[in-house]
Amino acid sequence: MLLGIGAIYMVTGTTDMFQAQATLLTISPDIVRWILLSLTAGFAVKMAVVPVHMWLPDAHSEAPSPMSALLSGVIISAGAYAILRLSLGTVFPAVAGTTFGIDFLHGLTIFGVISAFFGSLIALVETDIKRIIAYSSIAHMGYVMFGLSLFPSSPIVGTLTITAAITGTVLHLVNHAVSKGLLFLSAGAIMHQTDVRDIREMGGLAGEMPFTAVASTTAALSIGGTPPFACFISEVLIFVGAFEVITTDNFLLLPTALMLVATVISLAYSLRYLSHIFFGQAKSEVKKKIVDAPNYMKAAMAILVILVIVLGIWPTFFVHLIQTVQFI
Amino acid sequence: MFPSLLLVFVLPALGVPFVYFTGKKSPRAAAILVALIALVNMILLFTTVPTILNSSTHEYIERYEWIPILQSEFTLFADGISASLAIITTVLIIVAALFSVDYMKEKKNLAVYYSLLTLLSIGLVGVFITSNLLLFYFCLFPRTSSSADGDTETRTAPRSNSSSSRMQAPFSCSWA
Repeated sequence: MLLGIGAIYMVTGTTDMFQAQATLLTISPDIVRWILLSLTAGFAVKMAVVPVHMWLPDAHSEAPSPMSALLSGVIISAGAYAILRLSLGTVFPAVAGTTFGIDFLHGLTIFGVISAFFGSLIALVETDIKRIIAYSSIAHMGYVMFGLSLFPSSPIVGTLTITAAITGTVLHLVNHAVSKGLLFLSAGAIMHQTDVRDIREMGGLAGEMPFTAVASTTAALSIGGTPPFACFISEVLIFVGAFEVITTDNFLLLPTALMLVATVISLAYSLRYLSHIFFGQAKSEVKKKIVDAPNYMKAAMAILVILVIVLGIWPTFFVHLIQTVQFI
Repeated sequence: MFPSLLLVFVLPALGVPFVYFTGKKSPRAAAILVALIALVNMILLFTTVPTILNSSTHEYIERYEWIPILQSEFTLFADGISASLAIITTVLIIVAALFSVDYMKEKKNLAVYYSLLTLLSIGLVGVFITSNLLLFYFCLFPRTSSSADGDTETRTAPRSNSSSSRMQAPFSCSWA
């Protein structure tokens, strides 16, 4: 990543990404390709997509839940933002329309699909409460990578109004941040109140922790892509964008179909998560008397519950804001 | 022009010592102070929204002299994408601080924890509101390490044999 940033300064003489973009259009495509690849590879690590995802589940396991909420909600989103802003927005226009440019976007598509499947399938069998959510984050970064791969591949003449796919991708970063933040906070509340983090040792907590159960259900259904919660609308926008691009690029037909399957697996691990923790009989391993989360925890979760619902029903503010962006 | 985005950087930086000394006396007050700083930052970010929506370029830009020898300006900007992500980041910082009041209350060194959370918020928001690649890199790589006596996750899960080996590390928060 630093190599890519240094190379941009070396060939353009500026550290401003918008000034650099204009200069990059005039230099050798060979150099631009290496800059694009090095930046994207570096940002992909930050974004935790397969195969450079290994750090994320371990980081979540060791971090306290409030930090996990920030880690999953914001830090990995920064990697996706960096790919959109720097790799695609600044460097990619210099290779847009070339075979390399199209192959590069197809490569992002493949990594997105693999991440979505890998993360979802592992989340479906994992038993550690925080690692389930961590693998879910890897899956959702797969959706985001898939959305980023729908960036227009043809040369940009004048200004490019932002597409449905990119609008959906950025909106998904926002929605995933609040939904996953809520899921991590509610998981933290469960761990804090029960002293357990293996979901096989939980069960029947809805009666003892009703507020946390509502918060967890809201978050898990949003992560599972269920209407009317936040992540549903952004996933719809990504798929609408994909269907628009399929008309000009047949390559995307199979990946789009696979991504639709991945959303079903997302719902499956979300429901498994909820059923193991909140429904059924209480397990004998949880011996202490369990009460719901303390007030400050409830207040924090309540803010995000409201946001997850509001963003699912009325995403208009952020959609308007995102759609003002123009790539030059 | 009112320097909204500069203040988004400066306020948390100035707030770090206040959070630290407040945290020495009352961790709860420190957490609320962190949340208040993030709330002010959110309001500052919202002040850029009318410019983003109504100006012809749909951008809000502030430029300050920084490293002339590199022709590198301290450029802060917000457009629809960056403002959306920066605003939602401040929301998450607020809820993380509030949640920590009860979640972390049995831990020690909470003054350091909340100070580092404040410092971290500069990088978390900063990465979205700069177009300078150096500043972007500085913000993208916040590395925060805090330590407290005891190990948070071991305390929370003593009965889970299947995952106990994963919970031996002391409370830490780091990324590279």
